[in-house]
Amino acid sequence: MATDHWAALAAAVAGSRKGTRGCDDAVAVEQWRHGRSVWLIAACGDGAGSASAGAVGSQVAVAAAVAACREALESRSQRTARRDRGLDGAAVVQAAKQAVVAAAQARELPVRELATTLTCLVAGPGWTWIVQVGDGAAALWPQRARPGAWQIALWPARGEYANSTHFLSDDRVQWSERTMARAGAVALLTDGLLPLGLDLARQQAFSPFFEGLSAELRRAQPQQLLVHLQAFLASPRVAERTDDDVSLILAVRKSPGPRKATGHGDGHAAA
Amino acid sequence: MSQSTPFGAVEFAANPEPRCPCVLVLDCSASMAGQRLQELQKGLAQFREELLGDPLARKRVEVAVVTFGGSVKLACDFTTIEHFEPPRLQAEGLTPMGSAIATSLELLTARKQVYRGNGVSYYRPWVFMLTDGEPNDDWHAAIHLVRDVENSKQAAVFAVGVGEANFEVLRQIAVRQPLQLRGLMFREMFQWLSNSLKSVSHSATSEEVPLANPSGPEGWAKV
Repeated sequence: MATDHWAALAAAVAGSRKGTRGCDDAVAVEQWRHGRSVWLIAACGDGAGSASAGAVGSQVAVAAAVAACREALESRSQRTARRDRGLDGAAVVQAAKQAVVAAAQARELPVRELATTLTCLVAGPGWTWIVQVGDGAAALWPQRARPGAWQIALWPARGEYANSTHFLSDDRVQWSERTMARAGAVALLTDGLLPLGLDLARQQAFSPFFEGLSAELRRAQPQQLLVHLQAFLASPRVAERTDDDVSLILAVRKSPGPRKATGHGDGHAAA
Repeated sequence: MSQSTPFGAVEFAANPEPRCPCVLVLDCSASMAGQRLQELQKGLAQFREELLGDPLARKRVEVAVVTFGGSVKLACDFTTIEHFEPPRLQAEGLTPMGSAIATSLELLTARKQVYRGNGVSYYRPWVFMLTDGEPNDDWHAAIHLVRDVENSKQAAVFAVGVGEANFEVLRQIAVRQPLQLRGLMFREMFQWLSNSLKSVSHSATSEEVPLANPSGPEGWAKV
């Protein structure tokens, strides 16, 4: 039986200012199938540049968040699964924080040295759920919205200043969650890409950015695009607007049904 | 592949750069006349050059210059480094330091409102004050103003004394340890300031930007 699936792409690229220092961002994405349904689980994190092991923090946090989401989906009973509208934000944040604390202890470092943000998204057949700590962002195109009408799920949580935000390592983690409609396409980005994808003055998504990216993914195979996405993120066009690490997860829902004559024959490619 | 360069046509939001405001509050009282003011003037020119050479800092750092000598003057309102022309400094009169500080902080508050109104994000502003004497106006109000902005993290206020500057007073006004300029190392001081502003303007998600210690053996300052 043919089902929905997602075509997904993820890349994290070190910022142009950093020279030999590596990328402190991390991305993770997977698909979880149950019966005829598929859930996309995606997370990105931005390890603080001021923390000595920010890269470890972001990697540990995104892996733990994705695992926690998968386990939450697996453990739902049939009955609750039909009624629920998203996952438990507190539980996912807690799982990610515990993983970061454990990684800090294993390295004998203070937890703040693994300071990281976290944006995590689960897109199911009926809803899209997002939980966020700090200044990443998740954008989605609700499948019933007009084409190209992208929305930002949760506005990046920043302090007054451009270089202040909340981290998973904070004593009291400040997080927020939101459940939205079924998505036709989603994107997760860390703060390095915010000046490109968000219209800061109007406080809304800059849809041409997301539409330009997702249009490529609707056309082509993710495997073929990955190298181009990495090149795009490292390109001077992006670097002249930000010198921070940049990471992006992009996914479009590919529904079965009448295959369009695209000439690509890629209507059923899995991510 | 249907296109030669995938993602080549992706459009970006036309956002303004985040701003990193800095007010230079410069003592231009009569005692600054001569070599002190000349060196300060040279330092100011070098400050501009240093920041101009940095592609992000030149768009992000905004400088305003307030002078106090006889009266308090706004010698240069906030402008990005790209458009910053160091004002010609002239030494005259007494040292109204208290009202110069008040003016500078008001200027910052107004600037933040402009940023907010235009959807421009910004970094914590810096006030960098330089004096070779002591205030001759009522400066006690300035103590509370500086304490308030430091405690609420509305701005970071640095005080630098030159020559016979009254450090008793500077210590009362500034929450941070005032620094004493070694000799006339204005160039080194402005080099440090521009490097620090570069670091801040490049920072993304770090809470505190570590600054180089200006009072190290090679530094321009003594504490």
